[in-house]
Amino acid sequence: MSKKSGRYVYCVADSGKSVNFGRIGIDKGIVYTIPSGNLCAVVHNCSKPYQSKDAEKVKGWVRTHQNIVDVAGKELGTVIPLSFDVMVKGSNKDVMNWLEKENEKLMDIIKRIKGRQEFGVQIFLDRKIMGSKIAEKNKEIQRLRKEMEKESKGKAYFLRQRIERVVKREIERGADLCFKDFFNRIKIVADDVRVDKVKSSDMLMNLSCLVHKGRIGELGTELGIIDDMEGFSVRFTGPWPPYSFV
Amino acid sequence: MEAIEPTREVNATLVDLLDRALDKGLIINADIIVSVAGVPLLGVSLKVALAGMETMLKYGMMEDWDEAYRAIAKKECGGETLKESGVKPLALKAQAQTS
Repeated sequence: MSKKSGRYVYCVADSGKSVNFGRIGIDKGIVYTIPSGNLCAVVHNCSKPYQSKDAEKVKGWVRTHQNIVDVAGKELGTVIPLSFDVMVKGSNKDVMNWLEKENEKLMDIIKRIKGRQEFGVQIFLDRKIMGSKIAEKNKEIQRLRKEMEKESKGKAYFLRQRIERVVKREIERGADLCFKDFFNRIKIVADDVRVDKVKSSDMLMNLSCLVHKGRIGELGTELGIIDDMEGFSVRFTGPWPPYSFV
Repeated sequence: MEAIEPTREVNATLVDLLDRALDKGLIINADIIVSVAGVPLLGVSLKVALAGMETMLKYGMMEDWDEAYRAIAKKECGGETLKESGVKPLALKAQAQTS
């Protein structure tokens, strides 16, 4: 590929403005917009994708990518963030052709995300706390415990194992009910919710929520209620550009 | 009860950003994309560095990458590079994700 024969695309914005943001891009690239009708692509000129085995370097690039999306959002309004390291081959004309060809699809996305932001919601469950709460209330467990007190060591051992199985089963049942309950509470406040994979055994749910700017406080209130519940804690991140909803 | 405020403190939310900017975001029409093997490979090396291979595999987070990575490796082992074969790695990634 010849030198600078590609355009690294940070995002597409809901604006036909021509703007030069200066040397703020990845590897100090000059970031500018390529307008086409009512949309523009925020780009810098580059010749090849960004690759490195150095994790720190990549983290820096991703942060810069994010920073440009933020800056573009402030200056141009609604933006569709692109995944890191996506380039259009060719010149500005090719980017314009692409914007024109995909106009309808891109406008649909803009309409869907306008006035909204993405938030990450991760809810953690302390299974030990939930287990002891269940053990206090569950009649089957209480009955087995009483039985255990009367039995010999050997029999008591098997009863203890049975109790552990019941507790485990009840924890999973409780976790499932909480998942549904929390999901429904969040769904009411959010315009859209994506369920992502949990990242650790104590993570009950990992959601990306698309929320209207006017309802962020409501989401914070719902999450505050959950965070106050014994055995649960909430991690609330954002606002992110709507990466999960484009 | 107090409402919770969202955070975007740079260091505390780096993983959240990487999850989004590397795995999500708009992927544009495949025939004009140049983004090559770098995408899945970057994802792998970076995420392994952050979370450790074992954890990633345990929670199935590497599966998509792994499949794309294998597909690329298979091509290369067959004496045919991606460039020569004309196969776009991003299409491979998409295939891996939908399979």
